Amino acid sequence: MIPFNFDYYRPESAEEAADLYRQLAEAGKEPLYYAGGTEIVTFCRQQIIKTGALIDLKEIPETNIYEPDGDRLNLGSSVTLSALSDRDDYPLLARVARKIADRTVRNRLNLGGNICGRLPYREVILPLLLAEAEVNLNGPDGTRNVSLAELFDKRIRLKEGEILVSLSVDQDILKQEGWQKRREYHGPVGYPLTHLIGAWKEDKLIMAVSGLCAFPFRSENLEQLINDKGLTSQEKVKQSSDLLPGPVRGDEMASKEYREAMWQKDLLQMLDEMEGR
Amino acid sequence: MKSYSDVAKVTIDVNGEERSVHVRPADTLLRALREKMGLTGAKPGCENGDCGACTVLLDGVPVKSCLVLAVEADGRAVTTVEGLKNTAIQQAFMEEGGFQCGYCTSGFLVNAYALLEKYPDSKGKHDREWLESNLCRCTGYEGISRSIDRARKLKK
Repeated sequence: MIPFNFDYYRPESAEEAADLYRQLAEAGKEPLYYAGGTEIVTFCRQQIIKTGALIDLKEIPETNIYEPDGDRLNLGSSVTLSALSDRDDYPLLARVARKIADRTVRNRLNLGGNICGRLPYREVILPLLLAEAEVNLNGPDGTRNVSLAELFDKRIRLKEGEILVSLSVDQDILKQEGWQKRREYHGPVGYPLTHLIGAWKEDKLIMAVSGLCAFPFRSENLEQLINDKGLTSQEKVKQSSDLLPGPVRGDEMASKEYREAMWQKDLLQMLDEMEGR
Repeated sequence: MKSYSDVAKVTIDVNGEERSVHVRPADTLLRALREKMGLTGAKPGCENGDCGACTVLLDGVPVKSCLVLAVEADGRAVTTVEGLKNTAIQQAFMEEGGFQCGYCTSGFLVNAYALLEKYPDSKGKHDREWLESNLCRCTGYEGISRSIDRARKLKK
């Protein structure tokens, strides 16, 4: 049971939602945007977060788009992870989405919620970083488009009251099978100890990682290293730990040393398998 | 724009019957079903989205009702285990012993029902992915697996 009260709103446009947010914030309601609800309902029940108002974004039509547009794919932030995982046409996106939480949670958990949530894993962002997503935002200052790489620095850097409406991504990357290794503590349903994905962009190997550090990342330095033709795979792996963008996580699921060892093992496997393709 | 505050009336098609109840916007669908409508088939297990004992169908899609607000179901259709009377999945669980203590059973029944509706001819391809959403602490998974295979045959 959630032991406090809040109001609930279901706006029909991003503009209406952003305007409502401003009004509620001014009224001291500390509003939160509400996506799939899996995290907010849990955190409210546990009183980790408190709010006077939820603004549900799921009925905003632009947040529900799923449409190819030339060489891009436009994805609304309310598209569920089950909808992503059930599609055969974007295998890399589907296989990452399929590994997050479990099926009935994925029926609620959506793209925007996973990316903007408070949990550190945000795994669905991995293929979107590789696919060089452009993000469409709506907020108090109107609409803006910005690259995901620019917007994402350890977490999504939204302005107060801003909504992630949709993303436009490079279809070619998501159409690849790519390479994926996700390690969990218990079994397939669980948070990742490490989650590494890789793909080819022309003749360059690209990759993104979650679980290893306190935030997901795609690193230019690491990609330069793994594409260095003067180094063996073993040498690349050995040097990789020095180029991580943050300390390796250690927690109750796995020690820092274990995570780092698994990361190195998986990176070596990815290099061997991807370079053999 | 729809909005709900204090205690609001919601009308939900539950198992084919229109039900109107008053809820707080902070009430979960699970609590509304059990405490406002007297439908205790959906079970409060973890109430954290982990165990699946509270699974119901929302417009035909299996969801954990402990993670859905009751106001989100206003104007929509909900199917609980009470709505699965005389279905192939119910029959199959009885025939194959698809339960032990029974606490998780309603969640498994509802999720498996939706699975077989969506993939009647899948030959089990999607079973594991879908049923990973539900936990059986008695570890009666063999019987549950047999029951789903049996229901698939009964439906043909």
